[in-house]
Amino acid sequence: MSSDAGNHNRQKQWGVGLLVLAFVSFGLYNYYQAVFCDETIVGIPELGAEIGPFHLSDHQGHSVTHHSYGEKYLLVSFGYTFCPDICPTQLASFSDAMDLLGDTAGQVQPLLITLDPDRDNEEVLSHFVSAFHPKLIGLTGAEREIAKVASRLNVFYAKAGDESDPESYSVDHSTLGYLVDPHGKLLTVFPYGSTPEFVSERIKQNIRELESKT
Amino acid sequence: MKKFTLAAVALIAAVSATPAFAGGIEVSDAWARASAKMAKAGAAFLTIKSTGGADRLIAAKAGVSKKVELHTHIKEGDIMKMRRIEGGIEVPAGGMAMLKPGGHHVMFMGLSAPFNEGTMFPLTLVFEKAGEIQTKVMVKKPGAMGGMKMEHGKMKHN
Repeated sequence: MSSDAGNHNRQKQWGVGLLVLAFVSFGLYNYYQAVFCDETIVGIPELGAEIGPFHLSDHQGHSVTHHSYGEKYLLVSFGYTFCPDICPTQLASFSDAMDLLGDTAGQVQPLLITLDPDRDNEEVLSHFVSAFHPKLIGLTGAEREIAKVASRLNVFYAKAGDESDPESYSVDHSTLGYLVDPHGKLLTVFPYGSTPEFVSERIKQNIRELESKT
Repeated sequence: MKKFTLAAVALIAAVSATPAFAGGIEVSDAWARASAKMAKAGAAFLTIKSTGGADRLIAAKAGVSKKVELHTHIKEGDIMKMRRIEGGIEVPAGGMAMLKPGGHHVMFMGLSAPFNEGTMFPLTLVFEKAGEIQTKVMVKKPGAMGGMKMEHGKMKHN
């Protein structure tokens, strides 16, 4: 009788042990996926993360906050005007996406937040954004304000090269695009290389889903 | 007037499409994106073909900016880092080297004037073996991809 009970206990212990092992492996697997795999986007923020509060200036010199765009959805990219390739590629895709949105375009405000406020003042930004889309607004401001927004959305950025030479340094940075709802909450992200068709469809789908809930 | 403009555009297109040749190295389709007024940087993309042995693009020269360097992008997760290429860009024997968006490019720093859409500027490429090759860079619109299609989720940066 006692040996039966002992067997039973041992089985139970094995069962619990296996369960723990399964949990730990699953956890480790996920951790490995998140940290080491190329396919995982490192630096992806949690959906629902809040973009605000912030106090910045737009490319026309107006003070703006996270409340400045009313009921609009924000299509946000981070970059800098000295960026000769990656930022123009993303902005061109987002600009074409704006044109593909049709009637929905009125609900979306595209924003470029500079990660290089030292070089990107309002005037420099204004020439840059107007080259891409008439609706695109460039935002600049105090480094600490930009850092706050960047950290909320897990945006990495760091100057590289000779920082003392304004005609030479570049800025390493995250290349995701962000769709933010009218309450300032992150809805989805767009990886670098997303086509305008993909971006515009995802925007429409997100707006549809959100509006059907309310 | 319109006819003249069209003819001028066709001529420019024909000239820029003509490959530049020397020592078994052919440079073609050099283009850049128009830059904004006050912009201090620009990039050019192009194709290099070797009809002979292997060679190496080691430098570039142009009068449009204070500095001209060969740059590339290193992708780490979703972070892009732009870096100067040390040691040049290899052109394999009988093969090609592509300088294209998201990868290698000729980087212009300290532009003396913005790149205006529809204009061209001369660029000299310096190869280890073939020596100097002159080409013309065609300036396209600010968001041009040079005929390259963006493919969602399939962009790989090695």
